[in-house]
Amino acid sequence: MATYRLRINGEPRTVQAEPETPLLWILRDNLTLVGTKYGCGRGLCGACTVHVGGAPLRSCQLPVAAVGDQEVLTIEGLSPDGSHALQRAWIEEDVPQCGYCQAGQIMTAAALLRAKAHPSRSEIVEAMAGNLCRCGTYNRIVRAIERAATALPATPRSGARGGA
Amino acid sequence: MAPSSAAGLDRRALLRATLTAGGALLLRFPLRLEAAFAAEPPSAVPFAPNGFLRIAPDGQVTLYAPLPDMGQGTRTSLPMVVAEELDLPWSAIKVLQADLDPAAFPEGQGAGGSDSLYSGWEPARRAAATARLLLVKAAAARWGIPASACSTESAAVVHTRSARRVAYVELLGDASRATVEAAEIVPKSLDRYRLVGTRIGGVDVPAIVTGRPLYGLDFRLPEATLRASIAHAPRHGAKLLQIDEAAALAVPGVRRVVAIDGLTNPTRLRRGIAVLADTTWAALQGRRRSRHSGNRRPRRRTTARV
Repeated sequence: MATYRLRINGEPRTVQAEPETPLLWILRDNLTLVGTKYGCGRGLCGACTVHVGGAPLRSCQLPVAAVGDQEVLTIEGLSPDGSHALQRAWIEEDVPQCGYCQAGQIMTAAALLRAKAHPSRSEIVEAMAGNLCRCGTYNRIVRAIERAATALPATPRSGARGGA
Repeated sequence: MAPSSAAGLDRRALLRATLTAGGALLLRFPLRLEAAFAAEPPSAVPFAPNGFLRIAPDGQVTLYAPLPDMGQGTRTSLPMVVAEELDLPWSAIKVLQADLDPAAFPEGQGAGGSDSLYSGWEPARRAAATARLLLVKAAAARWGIPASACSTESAAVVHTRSARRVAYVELLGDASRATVEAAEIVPKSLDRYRLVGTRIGGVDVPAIVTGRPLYGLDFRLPEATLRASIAHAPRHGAKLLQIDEAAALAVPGVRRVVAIDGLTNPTRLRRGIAVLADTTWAALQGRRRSRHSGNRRPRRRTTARV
């Protein structure tokens, strides 16, 4: 067992764990942040996606010892009150069926929109390709991301129309 | 429309509502056609078991969803049926999951075979229609007019001709003393439907998109100190031949390895082992390292390879 000082959703958290314990189980077991889901446990399905240092990562594959001082963002920290454009769009499009994969879907989508506020449909499909949904809600996921994107202000780059 | 088999209801002639200690109208809500609208003794249990439609003195309507919703949407669709029948604004409905309660649901609380809404629709509709009729009778008696002259809208009984109106919440006491017979119950005709057939958001979507606890794995009993990871025998009917218990126990945090004998019906409990550990990760690691193996089930030519 070792002690790790993490930054989760903007707050310092100290946990005791075996070094190879995946971040997923630190979040769920140690910190009771159960919004991040255990799907395949092998980095294949995307249900456990969180942001680490701003990048979407599979938390089931990241040992807690490798997190270091990088900021970790989970679905619980995406917005203080569920008002993130994606969360609103997910409700408006009534995306989930069983819902189990959706936190991972939203976190992947949030990383996409932060990198590019107004992605094309094909860019959305490509960015989301690693997040599986056995209910098959893919079409609504794409629509929700498109809806959220229209609610976001243009990023400086995409706002510079005609610029190269 | 689904084929109706309402004949089973006619066996249960008398319907009676009961009043809880808190003054709420509590109605039995049978999931299966064969179940009775049985009278229940007054109960003050704050979280009533499954099978109850509850209208609280403050007007709050709660439906206890008795079946698991694994994405079929029945925690939304069955309450929609009830809200439609009772002419309740959708915003007035609160949905809670019922506890497992074999006494209240002797036919079980499983979901499978894609029939939750198929088999739950008509009982939900009739249970709500019963509640509506009790409320209508209470209002009609108060006004001294026949129940047939009254209708309902927006959680109220109305008498259009005299422009009278009384909210459900003001009728709970009288309605709880009213009686109806099964033959009197006439569910709302489909051409008057306003809610069913429209798309409304799933009741759990706000929890899903914010990561609030919702699934079994998200909850932990306060008294539970260990986590278990179960490995089933790799083949149906196989017996456990060997496990490396020492290897499993060598994982930090693993406490015990328990053999599961299984039940005769393998869909209830299959043979295997459970690795108990302080953390989920340790349990998963212990399971993997136990290198469980099973023998082959005797070959039986009951199915053909295609």
